[in-house]
Amino acid sequence: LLASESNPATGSAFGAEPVDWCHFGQSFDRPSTGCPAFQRIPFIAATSYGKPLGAHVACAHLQVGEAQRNQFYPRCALGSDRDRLRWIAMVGLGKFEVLRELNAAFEVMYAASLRQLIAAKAAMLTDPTPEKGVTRTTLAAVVQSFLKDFGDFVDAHAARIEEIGVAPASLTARAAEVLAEWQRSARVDLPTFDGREPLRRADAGPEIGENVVLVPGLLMARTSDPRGLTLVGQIDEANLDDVVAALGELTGSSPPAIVDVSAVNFCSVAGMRALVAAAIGGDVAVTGVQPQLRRALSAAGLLESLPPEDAATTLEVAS
Amino acid sequence: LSSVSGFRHEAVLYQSDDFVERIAPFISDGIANGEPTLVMVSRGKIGALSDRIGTVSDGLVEFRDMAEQGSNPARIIPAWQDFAVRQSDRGAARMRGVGEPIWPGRTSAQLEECHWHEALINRAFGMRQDFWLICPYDSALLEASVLDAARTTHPWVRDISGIAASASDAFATPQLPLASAMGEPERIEATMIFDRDNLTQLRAMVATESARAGMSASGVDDFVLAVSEVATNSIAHGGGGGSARLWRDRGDVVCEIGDTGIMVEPLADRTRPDADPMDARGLWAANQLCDLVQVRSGDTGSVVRLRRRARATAA
Repeated sequence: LLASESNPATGSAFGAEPVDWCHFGQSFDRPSTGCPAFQRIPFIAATSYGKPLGAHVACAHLQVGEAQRNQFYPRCALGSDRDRLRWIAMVGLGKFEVLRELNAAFEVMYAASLRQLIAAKAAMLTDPTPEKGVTRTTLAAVVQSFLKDFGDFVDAHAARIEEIGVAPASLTARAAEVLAEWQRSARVDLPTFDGREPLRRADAGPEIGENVVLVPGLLMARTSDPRGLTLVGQIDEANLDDVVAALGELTGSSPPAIVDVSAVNFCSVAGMRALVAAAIGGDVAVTGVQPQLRRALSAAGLLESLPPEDAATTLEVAS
Repeated sequence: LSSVSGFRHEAVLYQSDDFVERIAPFISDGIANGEPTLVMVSRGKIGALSDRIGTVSDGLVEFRDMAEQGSNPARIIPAWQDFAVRQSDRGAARMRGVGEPIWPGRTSAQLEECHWHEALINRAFGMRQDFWLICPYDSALLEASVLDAARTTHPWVRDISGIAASASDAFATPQLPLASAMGEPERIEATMIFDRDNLTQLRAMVATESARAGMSASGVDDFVLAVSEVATNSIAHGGGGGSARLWRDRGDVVCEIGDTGIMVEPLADRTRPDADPMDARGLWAANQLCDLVQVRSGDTGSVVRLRRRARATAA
């Protein structure tokens, strides 16, 4: 995709590249340096006759886009880079990890039921009897059992689901709807919770304006209570000056302003230097440092640059 | 000769079996003189040496596994410097070291960097400190070319027949070894031209290819950051951008960044950055995040090859 024979900036055969082209298409098994909006889902590939080819990991937002007739590309359902960052900002500034954890927990629950769902559906579709009576009943029972598990999952995680701005009841209703549709369809595929999913609506993200600034690769949201800055996306050469300027606005804060980096999925060493310099100056407290960023700070010799009490408390590691 | 003034860097050629016999007295003499000593050799040799020397009080002798500390040879000089600074701060006037960075099984790329490391250490210490460092070389197992290189990177060479000054003074003014052109890969997996505006795509390329080669998620994060830092250096100092190419070498992923910048300070990639966060530290970080970083620089530009293990290879 990115080989230099084609033009990496425009993505080869299509001339001007669609803005919702997904550039992270091959690294789905490891999200953290890739797309900040990545959401892991299981994907069962199948032949055109519906024969399953094995399970893969894909992204909930990945769709097949058609640039021109018969020319397909990996399309991000969220839209452009800008839309993706707004979506993350909407899901919850600084709460993106909650969503990731929910997805991971859901995946465990879903994986346990998947095999049964697929087996029951396949048995029903291949049932030679005209009425398919027994297999149809079995499938209905498996679906009911799954919906019960789904309901229990939603109940168990209700507080966290509300935390990301979704009504638990709407999620249960949506699951029943999707499963009913899937149960009727004549294909061996998986129930998909996409399309009309409330979390997919990037247009509901915060408006770009005075307090929410979009710079290349990064969304910066100023918060007022407590005073601070939430960063979403990647910090690198393309936006370092903007980050430094935004941190500069926080000088003289007392108590220190809160800089939330929990949704930063890449930070250059120069970006780390800026964050650490602000933290040493006492103007800001950096929160939500992910394990990867902490490792990187250590490799850059910046954890030691902080006074010991700051390294332990200011740069609090996200659990 | 029981102690030295200035930095003394000495190769000791031994014959496999006589390692303990040749090296232990050097450590014992240091203990007798009250000179703090850091020994960085393999785990097995640490065991053999401590058995011979016995218990040492006062923490005068410190052992460290060279396979760990020196897997990337660029991490060895900082370890010696940390030791020297720490002991000077404690008031030690003289100190000793035993370091064996080269053992049978080092890959050719690692060997090149080990020789480069041995040459650079002369520059890193100069005459400032009374530090006597000996580097054991197993002359029974290592190839003749390796021993020849050791004779040019060490001002002093000691073998079974005694001690002699090095035949060459190549060690005195180490240059970035551009002349030692690196081998060409057989098959390139991905290439791209980068500048300030498409670093994200460079990182995506490195992440994709590394994951495909089997690298762990945290490994990919580290490798991507290292490559991104070197590319950022190209943007800042190497003409605004450069070229990247990536390939696999046995179980490793290698990413090479080329630009038109010229590096002047050969110790730049292994000098521990200042505590001041404004001090640059991209190349330093790359050496902590990668298994090997090879820097070559000449009149026409610079090349940096970063390498990280993706999966274990059959021996």
